[in-house]
Amino acid sequence: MPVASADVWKVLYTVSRYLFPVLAVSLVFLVLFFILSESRIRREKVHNLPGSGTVGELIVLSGSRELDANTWFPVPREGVLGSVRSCDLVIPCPGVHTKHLDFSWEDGTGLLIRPRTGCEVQINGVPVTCRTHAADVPLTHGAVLQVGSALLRLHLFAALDSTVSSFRPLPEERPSFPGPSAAFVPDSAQSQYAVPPVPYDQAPVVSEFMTPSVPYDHVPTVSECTQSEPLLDPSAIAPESSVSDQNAAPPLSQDSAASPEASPATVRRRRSNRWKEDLGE
Amino acid sequence: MRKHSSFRFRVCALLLVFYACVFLLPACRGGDPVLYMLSAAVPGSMLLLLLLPSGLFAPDRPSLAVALVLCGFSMMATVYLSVDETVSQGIRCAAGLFFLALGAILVRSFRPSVPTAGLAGLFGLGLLSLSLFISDLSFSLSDGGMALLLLAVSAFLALRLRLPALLIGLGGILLLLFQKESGSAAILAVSYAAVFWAASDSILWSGFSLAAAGGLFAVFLMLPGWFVPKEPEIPSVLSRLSSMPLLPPETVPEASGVIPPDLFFLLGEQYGIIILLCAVLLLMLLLIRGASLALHTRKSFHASLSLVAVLLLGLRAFAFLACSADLLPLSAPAFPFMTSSMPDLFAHFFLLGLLSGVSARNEADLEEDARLAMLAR
Repeated sequence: MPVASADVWKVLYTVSRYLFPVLAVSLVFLVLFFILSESRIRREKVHNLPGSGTVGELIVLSGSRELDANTWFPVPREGVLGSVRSCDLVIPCPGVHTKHLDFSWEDGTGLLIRPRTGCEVQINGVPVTCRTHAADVPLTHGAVLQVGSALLRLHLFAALDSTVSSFRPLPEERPSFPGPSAAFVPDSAQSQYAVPPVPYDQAPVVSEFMTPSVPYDHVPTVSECTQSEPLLDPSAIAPESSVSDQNAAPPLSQDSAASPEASPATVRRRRSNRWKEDLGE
Repeated sequence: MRKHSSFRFRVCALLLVFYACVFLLPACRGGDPVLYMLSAAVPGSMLLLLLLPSGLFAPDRPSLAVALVLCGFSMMATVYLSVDETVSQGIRCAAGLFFLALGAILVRSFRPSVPTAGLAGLFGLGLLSLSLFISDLSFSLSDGGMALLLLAVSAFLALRLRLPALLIGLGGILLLLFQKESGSAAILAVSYAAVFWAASDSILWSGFSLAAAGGLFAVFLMLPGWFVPKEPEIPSVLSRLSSMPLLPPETVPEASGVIPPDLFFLLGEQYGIIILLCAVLLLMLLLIRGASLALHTRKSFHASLSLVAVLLLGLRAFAFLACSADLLPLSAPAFPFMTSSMPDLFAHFFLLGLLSGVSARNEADLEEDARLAMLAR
C-alpha cells in the first residue's frame, strides 16, 4: 500500500535525483579518506616499531675495504644477498657474486639459506651449496655465515619455536675463556683462572665460596630496604659487561656496605613523612 | 587513533543513509513490503559487516566497504524494474561473502608447498576445463579457475620451482584458448606474465613466460575460424552513454520483465552517469588499496597473491570498459561486483578474500613485531 501520495512522492523523487549523486560522490571521498587513514595508522605503527619487518641483524665480523667490521644490516624475512645494490643485503666483498644467495625466515626453524647455482657459503664452518637442503642447515642466533671473504654473525630478534620437528640444531661448541694473557697477568691472578679439575668427593663445600671475604656490618631488613634503597637508575646499568668483568669478584668495600645514612642524597622518603617534612619547612 | 578510525563510522553512516533512501523511495511509491525489508536489511547488514570486531571477522575493511558499495549499486540498478531480481542479487551478494571468508582463510592457512600448489593448480585446470566435458554448461567458471591457477603459480614461484609454474600457467591459457574464450585467455596471459616477472626475479624466465603465452596466442590466431571478431553493437555503447542522463531521469523507470546480465549500464540508465563514474572510481580505489597491501607484505608469496587479485579485478574492469567502447574486438566480461552471474560474483569475492587475508597477515606481523618490541623492553 503506498505511503506517500502522488504529489509527495513526486517531491521526494525530485529531491532524490540530486541527493543520490551527491551521496555517491561523498561515498567515494569518504572511502578515499578511509583508505588514507588506514595507511596513516599503519605508517604510525611502523614508525613506532623501528625494527619492524626484520627478523634480526647481520653483523660483519670481517669484511673488506668497502665493508668495515662491525657494520650491521637489518635482515628482512625474505630477500637476496649479493654484491649489487639491487639486493636486499649488499655485501661488497671479494668472492661474493652479484646475487649470491636467497634467504627466507621460517618460523620455528631459522633463517634458511639457499645459495644460487655456482655459489657457496659456509654456516658455522659447514659448506652449503645450492644442492644442500636449506632446512638442514638453518642460520640461528649467533651463527656465523661466511660469504666470499666476508664473515657475518646473525643476531636474531624473532623467537624460535624449537618444538618443530624439522629443527635440528648444530652441535654447539662451548666457548672457552682462556682468561687474560699470561704476559700481562701476575701469577697470583693467573691461578685464579687456571683452576685444576677437582674430583667430586673432594670438592669444597659451596658455603665456603658464598661467604663474603669482608663481612657485612649490617644486613638491612625488608622494611629498611623499602625505605632507604634508591630506585634503580637505568643510566647506572652498564650496557654490556665483558667476560672478565663477569668472572671478577664484585667490589665490596666498606663504603658500599655501609648503612643507608652514608648517602643521604639517594635516601627515599616515605610518603607519609614527606608531608610532615615539607610542611615543617 | 580515534580520529583515524572515525572515517570507518562516517562511511557506515553514509552507507546507512544512502541505501535506506534508495530502497525506501520506491517502497513509498508502491508500498511493496519486500522493499521496506530491503531498506532495513541491506544497510543493516553492511553496517554489521563493517563494524564487527576484528576477532570475529577480519576482512580488509576499506576493500570490503568498496565491494559492498558496488554490490549495493548492482542491487539498486534493478529496484524499479524487478523487485524479485533485486532480492536475487542481494542473495547472490550475501552468498558471495562465504567465498570472501574462504579466500581470507585460504591465505592465512595456505603455506606454499609442492602438494598444496599442485592441488590448487589441478583444481584451477579442472574448473577451466569443465566446459570441455560438459558441453551444455550455461555458465562459465573461468574466473574462479584463473584465480586458483594463479594461486598455484604464485606458490610454485615462492618455492623457486619455475618450470611447474610455467607449465601450469601455459596449460590454463591453452584450455581457455581451446574454448575460444579469447578475452579471459588474454587477461590470464597478462596476469601470468606480470606475476612471473614480479615473483621469479629472473628476466630470462619472465621473458620466456611472456614469449610462450604470446606464442600460444599467435598459433591459435593462425587457426582458421578460431577468432571471430565481435560485431560492433548497435546501438553502440558510446551512443548509449551519450544518451544517458547525468542525473537520474525525470520520469520514473517502468518495470520490465527482462533484466540484462550486465548491470553496469543498467545502473547508468536508471541513476545517471555520475553514479557510473563513482563505481569506476571506487574500483580504482580498491585496486590502489590492493597494490598498497602488496607493497607492505613481508613474503613474496603474499605479495604475489595481492598482485593476482589486483590484476584480475583491474584487467577485468579495463577489458569491460574497452570492449564496451568497441576498442577491443572481444565480448565484454562482467564489471567486478556488478554482475548477475553467480560464478563471476563468487570469483570476485574470492579475490577480495585473498586481499583480506593478506591484509590480516600484515596486521598479524605488525602485532608480532610490537609484542617482540615489548619483550625487548
